[in-house]
Amino acid sequence: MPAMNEDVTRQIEQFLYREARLLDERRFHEWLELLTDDVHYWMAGRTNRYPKRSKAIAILDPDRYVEDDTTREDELAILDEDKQTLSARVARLDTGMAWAEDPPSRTRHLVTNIEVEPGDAAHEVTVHSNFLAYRSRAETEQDFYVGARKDVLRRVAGAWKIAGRKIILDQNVLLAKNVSIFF
Amino acid sequence: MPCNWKFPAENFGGDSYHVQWSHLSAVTTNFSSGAATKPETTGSLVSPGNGHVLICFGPNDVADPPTPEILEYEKQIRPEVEKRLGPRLGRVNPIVGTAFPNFSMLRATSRTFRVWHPRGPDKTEVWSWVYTDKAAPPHVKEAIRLAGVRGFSPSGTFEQDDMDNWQECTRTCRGTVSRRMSVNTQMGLGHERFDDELGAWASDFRMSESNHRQFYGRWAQLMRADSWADLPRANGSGGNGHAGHE
Repeated sequence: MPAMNEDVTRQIEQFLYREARLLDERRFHEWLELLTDDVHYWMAGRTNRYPKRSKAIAILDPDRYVEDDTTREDELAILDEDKQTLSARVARLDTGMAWAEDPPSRTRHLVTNIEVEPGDAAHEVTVHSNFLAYRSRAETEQDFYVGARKDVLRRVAGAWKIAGRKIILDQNVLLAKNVSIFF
Repeated sequence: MPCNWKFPAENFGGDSYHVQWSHLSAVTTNFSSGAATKPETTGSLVSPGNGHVLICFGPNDVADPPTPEILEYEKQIRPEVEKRLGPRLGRVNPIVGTAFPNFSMLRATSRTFRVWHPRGPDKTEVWSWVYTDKAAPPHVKEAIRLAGVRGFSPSGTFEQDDMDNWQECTRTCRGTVSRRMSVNTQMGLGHERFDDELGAWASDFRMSESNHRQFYGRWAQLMRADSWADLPRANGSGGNGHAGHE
């Protein structure tokens, strides 16, 4: 893995921290501006799977057995969005009738374990990070969304933008009643 | 979800009047066709008995997910659908419903099956599937998959608000004053009839609690009966000669 320029790593860290603050301050229109027009924003599901070597089960057809426990891109997901649908979700929040967020959730996004790697294209980097998003709502409701993100960040007209985000949540059965916040 | 399982089951089978208030935000931002909020939309709440409940639109009301690929596909297959279903197609256009007690289906806005698993007091675990026609081309299947994720899923622009309703309904029922009273499901009382052609109970108007009465009537029969032999075979409204079929 070639070492990344430290300036770039620092820029990406600050970018992700600022993004988290925009989400927590509910500045969703400014957040949308951080996304490229061709963004793919995806939160996969998780399944319970035995590893191939497990003695607990007999795998009849090892060639067909999938060890990866995240849902594939053509399967159901918790979120599978593009710029247009994310914008529509934000527009929905602005109607004053989006009841899952009215009164709004209080959120705190903690972003850690940031690793920056060269991307597949020039002007792009691949960024790994972990997150803990705490959501408190109404009087005593609370949820913890904990997971990892793999982002593609692209340099557009001198600024970093998110061109892709894959979000892996570390739960099989989603324990929160819904997902009405962004990550 | 922090709710009693009966709220989502009832919601999918009878709650035709929550859309206009609960879901207007998703309707006005184009996550659905908006048929439920249009005054000209017709329809009826239909129950064949034994607690099964369907919300139906009129035969020409379109409530498919508002994606061009899906609408175009539905138009293409319409002649075959008419051929296969025959005159039944003009009689009933179910868009959402519950097979008693906890299996629900949806055709409008998204295409999904649900099982509402009771997981103890005030706890429900949801299993959810998106279904498509096996014969549909890949781009139509993809459009239906995405309509499911974006409309009816944990993050669904419709369903995230439903979950709040189910949770708050459950909480409200736990209140000291609420527990002294019976639930009021009188909407449209006396404005339903047994439709011989349908072989089912049907409300006169598409806003009614006739299906709530069917659903909870059957549930109450089951809870009161000591054995299967004691269980009336008629549906919860009782007293109708047609309702004895299984």
